[in-house]
Amino acid sequence: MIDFRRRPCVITHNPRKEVLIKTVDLCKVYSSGHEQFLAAKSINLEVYQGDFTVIMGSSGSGKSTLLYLLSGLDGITSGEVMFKGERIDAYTEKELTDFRSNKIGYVYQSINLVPDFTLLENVAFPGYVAGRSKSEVNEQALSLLHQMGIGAQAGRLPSQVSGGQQQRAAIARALINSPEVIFVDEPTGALSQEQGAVILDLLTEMNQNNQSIVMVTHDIQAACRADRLSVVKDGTIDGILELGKYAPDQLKARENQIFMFMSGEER
Amino acid sequence: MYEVWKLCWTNLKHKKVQNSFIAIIIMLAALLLSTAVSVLNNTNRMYESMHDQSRGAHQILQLENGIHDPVQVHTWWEEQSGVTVSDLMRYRYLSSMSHAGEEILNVDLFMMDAPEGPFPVDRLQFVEGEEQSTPEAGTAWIPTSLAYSNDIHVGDSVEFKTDEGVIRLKVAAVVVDISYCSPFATSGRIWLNHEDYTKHMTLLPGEDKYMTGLRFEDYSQQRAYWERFEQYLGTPYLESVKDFESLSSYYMIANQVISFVMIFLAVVMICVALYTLGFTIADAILSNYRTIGIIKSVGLSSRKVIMAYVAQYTFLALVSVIPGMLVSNILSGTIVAGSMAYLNTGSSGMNDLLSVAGVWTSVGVVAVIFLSALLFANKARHVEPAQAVRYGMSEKEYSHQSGGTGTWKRKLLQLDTLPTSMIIGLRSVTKNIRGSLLIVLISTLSTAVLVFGFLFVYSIASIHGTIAKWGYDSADLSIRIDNPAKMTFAQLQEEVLSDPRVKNYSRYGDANAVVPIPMKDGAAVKQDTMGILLTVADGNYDQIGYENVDGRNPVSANEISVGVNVARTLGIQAGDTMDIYIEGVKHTLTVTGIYQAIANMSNTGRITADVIKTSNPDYGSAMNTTFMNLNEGTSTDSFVKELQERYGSVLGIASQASLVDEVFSQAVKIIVLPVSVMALLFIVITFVIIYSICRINMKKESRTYGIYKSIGMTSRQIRLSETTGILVVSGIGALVGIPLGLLGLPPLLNVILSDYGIVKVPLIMNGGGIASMIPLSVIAAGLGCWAASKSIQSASPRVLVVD
Repeated sequence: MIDFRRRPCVITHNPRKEVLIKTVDLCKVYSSGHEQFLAAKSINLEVYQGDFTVIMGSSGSGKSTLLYLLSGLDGITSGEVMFKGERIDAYTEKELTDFRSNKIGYVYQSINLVPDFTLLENVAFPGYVAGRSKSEVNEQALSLLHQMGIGAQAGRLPSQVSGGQQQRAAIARALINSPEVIFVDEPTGALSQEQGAVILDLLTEMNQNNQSIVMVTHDIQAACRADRLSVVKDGTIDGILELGKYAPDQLKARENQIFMFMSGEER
Repeated sequence: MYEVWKLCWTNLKHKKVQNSFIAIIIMLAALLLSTAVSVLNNTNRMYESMHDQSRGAHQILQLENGIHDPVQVHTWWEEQSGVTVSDLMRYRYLSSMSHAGEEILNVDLFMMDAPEGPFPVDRLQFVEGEEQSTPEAGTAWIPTSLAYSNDIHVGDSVEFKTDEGVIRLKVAAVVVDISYCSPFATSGRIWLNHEDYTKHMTLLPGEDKYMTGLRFEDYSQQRAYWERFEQYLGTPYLESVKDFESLSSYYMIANQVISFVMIFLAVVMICVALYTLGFTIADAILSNYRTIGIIKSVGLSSRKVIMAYVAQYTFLALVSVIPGMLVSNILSGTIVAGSMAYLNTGSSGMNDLLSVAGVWTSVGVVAVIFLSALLFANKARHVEPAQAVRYGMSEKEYSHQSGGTGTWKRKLLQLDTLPTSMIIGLRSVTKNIRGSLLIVLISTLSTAVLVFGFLFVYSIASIHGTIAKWGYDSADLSIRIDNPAKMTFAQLQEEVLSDPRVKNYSRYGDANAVVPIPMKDGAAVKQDTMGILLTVADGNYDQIGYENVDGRNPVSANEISVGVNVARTLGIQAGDTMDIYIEGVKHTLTVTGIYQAIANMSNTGRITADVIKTSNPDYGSAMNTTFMNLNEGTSTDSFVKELQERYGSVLGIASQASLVDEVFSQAVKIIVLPVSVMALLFIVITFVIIYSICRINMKKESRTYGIYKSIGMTSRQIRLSETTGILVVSGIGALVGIPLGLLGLPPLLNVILSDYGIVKVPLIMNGGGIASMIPLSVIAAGLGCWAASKSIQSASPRVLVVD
């Protein structure tokens, strides 16, 4: 049995911002065959309202696991996850489904649209689940697809459009119920550089409209969009970098700043 | 609920093939079950409806031996309230009838002096000919059982041989005579004009016999009437009585056998359908694990995910049972019409067979599917979004899979042990272990049903080989003296039976007897009785081939062997003694054996003529039938033909084979259709299920096939590999199915037929025929897999890998 409670813990707090999500000694153990793997080790982290929070780390560092735990998509092994002061790790299944339906949106790395639904249906579906009127949801879904630049593809199946278009539809789906926060897992991982940039611009624009975003990435260019950067290493928070609001002309400077923070060297 | 409907509808729309196959399986299960229930229900309904319409008798008293005064008996019953009594009808027996120059074999005719109609009991239903109160002089009314099977119509001439010559009558009507026109019946009532009866029948040797039918307002009270009746007589009733159970039993037997087997197989098929449903839902959940995870991650509750699956399969069940029910209506109608043809008056609603029971059965099938879908879809409850997205399966399953393949399997399926294509196929089936188990199961059942179906039909069609085990003699031929004035038994012995080609012979007659049934302590009635029909032999039962299931045939004047139902009712076994009244005289006999007989539902016994001769020395003159065997090398047919040419007018001669054919060809006709349908359904089910499993599996393994293709395997090689694997698995199932079909299913027949007097159905093993059934399900399985693998052929490696 792994004694994960002895791992180091990082506590950071910005008293000027409203805390949206907070974890206390958050731990997660995965099993593989006969082995157990500690994916999150006593993590203490705060995510603030209106921030573009980026969680960065190398492959296998535990960043996607952390995102699942913060969003309530996966159960924790120990510790606490609080959303606006409420412990979501103690939610019943009904409370959890309400939470997923109304409070959060999730964009997956592998896009994960429902293959048998059209783009419009994929986007609208969480609206139906939330019990909203069908016509209102359909109208909003179509509007979101237009905003994402894929309105013309609304009636197509995911397999009939490009990866970038699928990812944009996935973002639209995450936004349909106007969630308080959207979680984005490696949104550019499966896309070309050009498609990736479009997605990042979309996310940045949403954040500038006060949408809270928590994004996981290992890509420095994507991480540049962050207000606040948390680095994950071996399942723990290895450091936090406050960057402030992003502007396109800061890109190079931010890249260097992040590189230095990560490696301790100048680029 | 819109989101549930949306998910359900999308699943229906995008998984057409898979849904279609589930629908077919549900439809076939509903078809089989609904058919079985409808056949049973409609058989009973038709019979009961006709019995009510005809005011059918519950009991028929035959007063033949002069023990009781017929008028006294009839009068007593007439005075009873709650009982409707027919006229006291005179009759004589004849056993020869010809139509269009052809003798109708194996008939026992009651030549009735028709009373004035309409009859208060057993009212005749006129199918052909004008309804009149009595037949006109020179005409006769004949029952449907004789008319339909011999193609006799109104206006035809029929002939009856008697001791005094030949009576020629014109058929004036064909009638449903409810008590005497059941399937497999060899007896029938011929209704004659009073003058004709007096002119032709009363001149014959012997006395008139009397018959009266009783119809009770409440049949369950009949025992109380009988108790009072016997008190009135001062003795037990010692003549013959046919009761409702024996009058109705042969209307029911074929359909009960068919329905019982069908119901059993339908239940098996529904179990298979449910297992397949479970497999399909579980597979759908597994293959959509990630999608379900995503759907849950956007806030859809587990309950609603389950509801979507339940709605999908309940909808499929609803859609499928409707055609199943409609086809079952046609099928059950055909089966019932075949077996109940003799009750068809053309206006008796034969075609109006929509059965409420069939509808309820279908509703039951939908309910079962609903509950099963609920049970199996519950797996979706445990889908965790993060695990689903990360692994495409549960963490536990992922962890289990990470454990790797067992050593034995790895060793067995090493690429160098067998041809590569076979190893690839076998790896595929061992990887998909649940699907493979389902293939084994369906192949087992399918083979068992085919083997059993063949065995059953072949055994009935070849019944000559086991005729003794059905309670009949197995002599080569029978000779009946139709005209004792022209040929006595002594002459027959001299002219025919002494022929060097005759190996042995025995002379037979029959007699009615009454047996007291010991009552249990405390029973309201002190003593009950049962009437049994005795076969009486002046000769050797063993030589003529009568068999027993326990003990031996009687040989002396104090011995008897009895049918299984007599033994069961009396609680006796071989070695016990029993009291029996024959022609009113009490005998105490030792039971030497117990036998089974389909005739009279084993309510029969066998004695030697010596038993009766102790009280009636003249009994031998009533024994007008002789069974004989011929020496080896003698052709029975040519011997029969020779005798018919020489003694056609005085002897009734028939080979055993033709007598057996007369009765059992009808049985074969009735059972061949349903058994063939059942066999066909199981072959179709095998194909459909295996197609479905293979298609699901092939979709999952498309990446692997893409890799095989990209490294140079042809589509044909991959398809052959997969089909080889399925053939091996299906072959294993077929091997298991053979003993199940040969040993597991026949006891079912024993259960059904035991009420009819057959406790161990004599089945004939035909190795070649059975062997020819085995490959059928394996071929269906192979074809199912081959057809399912067509997608491999049409897809490019890129598409397969990307899929």
